[in-house]
Amino acid sequence: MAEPGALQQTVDLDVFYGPFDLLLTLVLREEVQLFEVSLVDLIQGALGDHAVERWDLETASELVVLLSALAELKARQLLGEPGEAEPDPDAVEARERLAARLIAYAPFQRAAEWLADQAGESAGPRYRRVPIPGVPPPTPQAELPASLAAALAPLLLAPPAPSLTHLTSRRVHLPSLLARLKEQLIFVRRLSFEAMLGDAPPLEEAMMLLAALELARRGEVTLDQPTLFGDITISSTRMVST
Amino acid sequence: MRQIEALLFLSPEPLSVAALSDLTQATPPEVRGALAQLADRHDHDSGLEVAEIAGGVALRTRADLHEVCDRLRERPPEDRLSPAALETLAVVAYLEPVSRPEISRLRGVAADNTVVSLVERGLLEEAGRPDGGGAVRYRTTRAFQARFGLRGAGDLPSLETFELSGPEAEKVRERLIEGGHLATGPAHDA
Repeated sequence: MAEPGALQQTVDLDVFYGPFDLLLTLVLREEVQLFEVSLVDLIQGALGDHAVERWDLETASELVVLLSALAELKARQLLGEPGEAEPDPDAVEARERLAARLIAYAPFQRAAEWLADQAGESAGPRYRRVPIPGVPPPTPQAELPASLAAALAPLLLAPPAPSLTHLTSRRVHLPSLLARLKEQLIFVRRLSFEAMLGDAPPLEEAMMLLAALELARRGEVTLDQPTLFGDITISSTRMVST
Repeated sequence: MRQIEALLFLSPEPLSVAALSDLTQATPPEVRGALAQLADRHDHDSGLEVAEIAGGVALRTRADLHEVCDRLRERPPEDRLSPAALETLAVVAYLEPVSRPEISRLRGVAADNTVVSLVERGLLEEAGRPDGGGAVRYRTTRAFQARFGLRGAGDLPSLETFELSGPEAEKVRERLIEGGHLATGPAHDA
């Protein structure tokens, strides 16, 4: 069984970006020119790294057949067939490009043949093979110790400490809130929790609730919340002297 | 000259003129002079020759004696290189340092496995990344130079010498562009 959406994976080519099966459909309908599709990129995208994780054997086999068919189709379009009718201008242009690439690449093919000849000529002589004990290995080409040291030096430096200047440190002290609450209750017997805090930040709101609970624990206030999540009335238990 | 001959005999690696100069306390011109004398001494009548190879100088057996030499010690199994591997080596040798995507683009086929195989064989090695970041680039090694009998890095014929001549290039172009519909059949006859 194929992985869900295996054929829907996105391919990213110069001429197309989208699901793999859509590309195949468009190629078969000739809405995407096969000349413009880089089969190398397509194969690498489909079967490249981590292919084993993405494809089961059955789907991968089907994909190989599809890609082979595309390769054959493209080769036929590029190379033509004996007796074919006059090719269309797109085919001629693609063949011109292919010819230019082959002509540009030909020197490397000839250089490879020269290397093969060189390897044959160099196969005769024999060299000492046994390394001498205690002799250090030869210095790597081009990597002088100074340049290696310069490359390694930045790795040995401790990274700079991250800056916290953009963060605001906010501290709320419970004792100061207790004092503030008690101070307000000197002048009034009842306080509305919401009215007292107004638009205070959530941290201050939570700490003030703790302060109110602490005073209630000490028996200095009573708390009354008629409705769930409603306002809390803080009432002082202190006797008012007249 | 005797010191240099002894050092070349003993060394399993080609020795550079600078290394010979350090070891013998002679100046580089003196070393070069001694090497020339040594090469004259080991002429065609000798079983050994002085060869400039892989960035240094080595004392090695002459090519025509390989059969008798191989009776003394077993020759390592032949490590044949495929045409794809040879072409990849040629691309790297002329364009180094060059990355795998660049090799693939030039060759028109994926070169990843070939490059990995050549690195494992010691013929290619990593040459870092470009300053602005990017894919790892590769270059040829001293083992590459030794295998192909090169005196050092870049000891290659000019790439221009391998270019197709005008008529050859035109033949390729004609074969591709007109080969299909003009090779045989009615279109050709017309």
